[in-house]
Amino acid sequence: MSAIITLSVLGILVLYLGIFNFKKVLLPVILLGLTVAFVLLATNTGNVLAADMHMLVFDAPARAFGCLLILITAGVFCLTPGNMEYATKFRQDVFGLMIFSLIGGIMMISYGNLITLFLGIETLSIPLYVMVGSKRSDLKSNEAAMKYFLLGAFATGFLLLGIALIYGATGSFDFRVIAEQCLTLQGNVSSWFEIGVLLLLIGLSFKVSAAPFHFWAPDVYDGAPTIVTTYMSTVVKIAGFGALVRFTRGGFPDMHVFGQFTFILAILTMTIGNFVATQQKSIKRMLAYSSIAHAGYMLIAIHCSTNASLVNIFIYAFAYSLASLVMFGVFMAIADKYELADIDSFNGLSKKNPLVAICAAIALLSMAGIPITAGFFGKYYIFASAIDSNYFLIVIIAMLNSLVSLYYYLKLIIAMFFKEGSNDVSEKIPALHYFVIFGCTALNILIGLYPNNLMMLF
Amino acid sequence: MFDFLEKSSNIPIEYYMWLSGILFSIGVMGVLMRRNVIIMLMSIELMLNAVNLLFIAFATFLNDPKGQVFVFFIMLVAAAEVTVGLAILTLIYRNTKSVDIDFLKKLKG
Amino acid sequence: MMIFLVAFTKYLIPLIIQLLVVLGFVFTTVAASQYLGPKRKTAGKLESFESGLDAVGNARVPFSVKYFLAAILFVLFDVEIIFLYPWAVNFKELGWQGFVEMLMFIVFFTLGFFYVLKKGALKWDD
Repeated sequence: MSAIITLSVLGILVLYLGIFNFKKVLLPVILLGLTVAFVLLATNTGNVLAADMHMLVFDAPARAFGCLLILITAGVFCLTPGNMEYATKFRQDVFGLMIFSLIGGIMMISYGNLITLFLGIETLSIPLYVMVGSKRSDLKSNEAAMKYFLLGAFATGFLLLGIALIYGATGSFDFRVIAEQCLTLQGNVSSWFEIGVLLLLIGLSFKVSAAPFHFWAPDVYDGAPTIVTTYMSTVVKIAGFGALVRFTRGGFPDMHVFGQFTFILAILTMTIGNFVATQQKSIKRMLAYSSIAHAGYMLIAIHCSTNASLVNIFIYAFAYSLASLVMFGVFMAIADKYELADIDSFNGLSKKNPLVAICAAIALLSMAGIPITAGFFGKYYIFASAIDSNYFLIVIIAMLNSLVSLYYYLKLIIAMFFKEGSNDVSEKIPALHYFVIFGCTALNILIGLYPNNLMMLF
Repeated sequence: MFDFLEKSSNIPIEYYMWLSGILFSIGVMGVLMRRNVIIMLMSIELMLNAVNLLFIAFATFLNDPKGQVFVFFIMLVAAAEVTVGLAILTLIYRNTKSVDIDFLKKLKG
Repeated sequence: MMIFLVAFTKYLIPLIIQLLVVLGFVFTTVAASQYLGPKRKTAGKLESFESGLDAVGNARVPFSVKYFLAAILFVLFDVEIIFLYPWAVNFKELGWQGFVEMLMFIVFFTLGFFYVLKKGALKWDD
């Protein structure tokens, strides 16, 4: 709770600092505030106050996911210097919105009550609608904002209808009470409950852009300012999956009723994401589709809901968002600044800036799931626990999908290392940018070498 | 004094569910079929209000005030959402001079 | 059926009488002023009433976006009041803790309001 209050105060402080023209100190203040929130969240004892009414529960998974969210947001903030030219006048507004959105994310991964789940999702989404449209004169950004807004609000309607039906069937919003009701009724829960849970899952899968509810994602990722895209494809995705796994592991005894739903969802999401990504010319769109594909792999862990699902999704999300940060960082530094978006803009990067090229290659390999990177263990744990619980078919499909994904990741690597670059613009990359790229790569390999240490968090 | 009103709870809960289900479906169809963004926004509001009605009906049915409190949250969030939506719409109107959804097809691929 | 009859005599008949009186009053006064008042139709009288000013142009013109901004901000700050009602109802039960929590809530959105002011969103002429 104290972390959320710290972040709220930080958000308002940032807005006021911007107004009173202290724009120089904005970034240090934000990073300091995020550090404080990180420490407060990490040292939270997890005791539930009676006054909290079980609204927010900071148990071990919530703390781990929350710290991950804050860490990745700090990484996104470190990428902002040099990439916010479109918003020099109202930079503090975008920063403030990003912090408010992060608060929503933390609520989404620590909710103990359907009210806080709903409020968390909305606190996450509403600032995002504005952030996506923050490139005000650019029609593409406007269009992305409108699409995201309409579909997001539409999904909210379904989510709410689901919550209403669950409430009608069980008479409570509290997760413990709902689970108890399920246990005592033993299968005699009214059919409203199942419809409600299904609608709620549909609402959540809109937010994590799982196929067939993914149509907004590529357009929105493409149209949004790249720094916002980075935020969306990392923090929003982690928060969405945190909420989803918390919901499915929330103590409902027979969630396997919805096995069909999550099964189809996972397979469609992986396959559509990977196959469409191979066809993309623009890097931003390719990364968007690849993020849809990654959502598909994480849905496998949701589908074979075991006790390990939480930690598996955590490791996968960690690995994916580290790699994603690096890729978007590199993309912003060498292509996006010059309004380039094609894969060709990566040509010959290894000659110009070999270290950055190696980092990008490691990130891509991690996304593809090649060993000694974190991404490998992310996939490994998810597949292993799926096989443990006898879900062979879905694992085979996922393996085939990984092979397909290798194709378009390798395409980028080949462009970087074996093609001659045509543009000889000498890139000046800010120091913080380097810090994010190298730091994330180092962390990525560190997790790849010692994956078991992450398990301790749970 | 209010015993007449209490008698009205003889109406079974299913009727309320049908009503809000129909309203919700009208909202959904509005979002899917209309091309004018303002009308789509109104349809989304209709969806949310159908859910509000359902919450109130359940709260009365279960004799539990929590459902009514949730409606407050929904109303607040709906207001915030519509504010943001209209702001984005003004932005688009400034750039294209139209509120028709068909103008939004720059992003493809 | 019995319930309906009882309810009808007890609650609906007074309501219907009230409705008739209200409608009757409205129609009578409007009709009376129509018949009793003098009528002089001059060009000035037939013009639409615009607080004594001359009416200019069409009424269907786009409004300045400033109105829109003010309206939006009004909606936002107006809706916050929703949460004051349950607090007011349970003021005594919630005690000091409720007071402090509500104070925090109000401070947060007052800060938002000052931000709006400072941003110049409510400045009318620029």
